[in-house]
Amino acid sequence: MTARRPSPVRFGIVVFPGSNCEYDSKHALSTFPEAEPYYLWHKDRDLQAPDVVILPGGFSYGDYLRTGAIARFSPLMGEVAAFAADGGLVMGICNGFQILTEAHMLHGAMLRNRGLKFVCHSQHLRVERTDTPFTRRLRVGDVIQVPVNHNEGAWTAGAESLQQIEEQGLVVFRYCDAQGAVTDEANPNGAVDNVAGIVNEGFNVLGMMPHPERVCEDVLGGVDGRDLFGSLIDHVLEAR
Amino acid sequence: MFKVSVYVTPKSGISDPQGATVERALPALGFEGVEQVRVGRFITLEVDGAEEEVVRRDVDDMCRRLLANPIIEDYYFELTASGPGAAQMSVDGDIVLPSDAALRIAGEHAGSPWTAADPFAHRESESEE
Repeated sequence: MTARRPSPVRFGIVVFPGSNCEYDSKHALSTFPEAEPYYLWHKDRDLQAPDVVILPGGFSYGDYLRTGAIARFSPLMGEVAAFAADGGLVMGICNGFQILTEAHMLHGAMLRNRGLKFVCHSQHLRVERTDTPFTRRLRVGDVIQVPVNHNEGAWTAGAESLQQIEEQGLVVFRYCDAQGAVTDEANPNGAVDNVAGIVNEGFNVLGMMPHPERVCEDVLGGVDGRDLFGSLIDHVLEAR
Repeated sequence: MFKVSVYVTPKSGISDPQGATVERALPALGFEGVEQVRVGRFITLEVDGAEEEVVRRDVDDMCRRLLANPIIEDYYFELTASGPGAAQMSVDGDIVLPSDAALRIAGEHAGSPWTAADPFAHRESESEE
């Protein structure tokens, strides 16, 4: 125990039946000395005073009906929605992003990938916004490399909603090539406008299909994910 | 009691990779001229209730809030009041079909390719390797 860190940044990781990236998320966060990650069971009704809630990747409820469709009815999701409505930071990764759209906490919806292809590779992303709690360690136009690993990641939205999203600049990451060009060839799943990650109007809820928790250590092939979790830690500590 | 059939389809204008893939596969079986294939979901429910209007409103609510995602999907549904002549529930929950319906279904199955020993047998005549 260290006296100089009396109050760590608490990351509550919600585990649903079928989640499978909660361990990766907890492990990645455990490499940050300031962070205190812990699990929450979807049937809990208490978030246990988190600074950030993580909805991890996986196949919650077996992806029955639609990805994320059933998870949003878990008892804890009501608490997560209330936490977010109150300005709390929520980050949904992959299946977590799918859950957030189904819960209407983020715009849009997910379709099967273009070509019905399950994608699993390291993907370049262009950073579109850095004035969010999730991306403040990055610069606009930065190209980061984060793995994608999904089957239903073609984010889409109605025309009206799409216009609103672009006008308000809610897109945080777009799929791009190694040079940062946002092209159709660089789009792994057919997502509208190459959208890989978006925030809500309050900038406190982020959903992204790529997995930043998998690139937090050199031994795993990259550290670009550290900037996202690091940004959250900076944001929380600064707000205290 | 009402039997409910809910049809969920991708909204027009929303890309449907499943439909597109099926559409590309059909010509390979010799079916030409097939367009606009859309793959959706068919959901059946039985809803307890006496008043059709009330059940109809509830089912519409179910569709909007769970069975379909209105951002990407359209839905419609049909209600059928359970009664004489329709399939009836027996006491233990097994479906008891009226005999004429049972015969009709049996007749359809008799001519179905799925009753053949090997449904893909026809492929052998098509490709000779």
